[in-house]
Amino acid sequence: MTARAFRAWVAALVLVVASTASAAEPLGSISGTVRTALGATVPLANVGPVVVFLATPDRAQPVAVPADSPEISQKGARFEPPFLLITAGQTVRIPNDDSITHNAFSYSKPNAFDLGLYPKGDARTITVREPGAIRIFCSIHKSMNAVIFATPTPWHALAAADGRFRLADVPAGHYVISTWNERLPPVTAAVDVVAGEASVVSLTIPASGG
Amino acid sequence: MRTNRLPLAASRDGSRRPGWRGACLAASLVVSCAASRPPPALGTSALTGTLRLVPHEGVTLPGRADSYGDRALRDAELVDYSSPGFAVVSVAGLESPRGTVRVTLRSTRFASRFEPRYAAVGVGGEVAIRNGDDQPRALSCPGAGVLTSVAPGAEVTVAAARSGELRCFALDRAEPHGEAAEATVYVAPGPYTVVDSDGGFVLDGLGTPPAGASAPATVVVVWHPRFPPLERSVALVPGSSERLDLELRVR
Repeated sequence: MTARAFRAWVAALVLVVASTASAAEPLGSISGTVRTALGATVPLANVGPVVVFLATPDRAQPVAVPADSPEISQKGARFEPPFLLITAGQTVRIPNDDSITHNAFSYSKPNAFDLGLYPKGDARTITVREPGAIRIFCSIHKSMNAVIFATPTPWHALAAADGRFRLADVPAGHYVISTWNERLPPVTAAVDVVAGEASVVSLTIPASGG
Repeated sequence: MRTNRLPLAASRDGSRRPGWRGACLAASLVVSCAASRPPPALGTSALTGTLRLVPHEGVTLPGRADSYGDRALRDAELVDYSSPGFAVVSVAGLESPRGTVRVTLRSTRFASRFEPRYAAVGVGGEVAIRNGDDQPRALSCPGAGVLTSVAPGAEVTVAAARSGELRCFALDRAEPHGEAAEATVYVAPGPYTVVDSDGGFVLDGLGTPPAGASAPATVVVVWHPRFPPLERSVALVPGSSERLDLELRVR
């Protein structure tokens, strides 16, 4: 490469970096813990997936939906994985990887669907339009149960067994952070994300009722 | 000496059980009784019928296909279409009977369970959950916002404020296969009945829709823990009995 060509290449690279930086939103992150007011009496490891997610009540423009299509396979007369975390608007592919016919359906409103019976090698898809939990069954096999949880934004995570979570690359702004678990009441809090900073949130599901 | 008891037949274990003739006699008595049900009380109506689960056409059953030689598939438990199991028929738009349904949490060395696993109550009623263990148990009913510890022998009352499923879990123990002990209570929107094991149901003493209701038609709602809910409109006329034969199916 000649010196002139090298200078041109560097100038182009600087331009690209500058334009990318101006288009990108300032990002921050949120980390924290989820626990229940009953403490160690209810180990999170016993309750199944605990989702932590953000909603954007003040955001004017719609958030981008991930382009990929995650899968739940029908294999060994089970849905695998039995839990899937996605963003509302994503398409989920449900292939039949068994040697027998299966069905997949859900009556969870407002995302109810029925894919009908389909044989080995076939795959069908659903596009989850609305946030929320979707319980999936097969009409033939009692053991086939799965849950999809669709969040309103792509900023979501599963809490670890010790309750810790981290949401990375979140645009600066005001959010509502919530938990979802099939077996626990939800908890919600307001949180501000500041560019270049890590906000810390402690979410405690209160003891109540009864 | 002749008696009016059903004829009995000896079984292989030596006990005596009603034979097929007895079963036929009992069935004919049930049919004749059903046919001659007294008319509903003055000013009320009744709803009778059956509920049936309808399987897919062309589904391959175990033992009929080579693919079920695969042990994982052969051992897979099938959905039982021969009986509706626990299912509830309710009438929306009429006054709820409310009431209280009682559920007990018990555990063995291996697992915890609620008894009964499925139950029903009218909207506005209560679910009373008793800890039948000798240890405190953690109880969660997410739909009712309940998370609490229940002392041994104590009872917790959960309000059945909204119609639909109310699921409650015991969360303090790791149960087999990652499952949690669960009770599902169907909170019926109005008068309800649990379907018999043979699919029959009777709802009587039904009032009329409140004054000012826009239409005489009332919505009948069928709930089953695994199948999509079913709704049918029916016109309930005071002094008469309507019949509905219902089917739950997936495509």
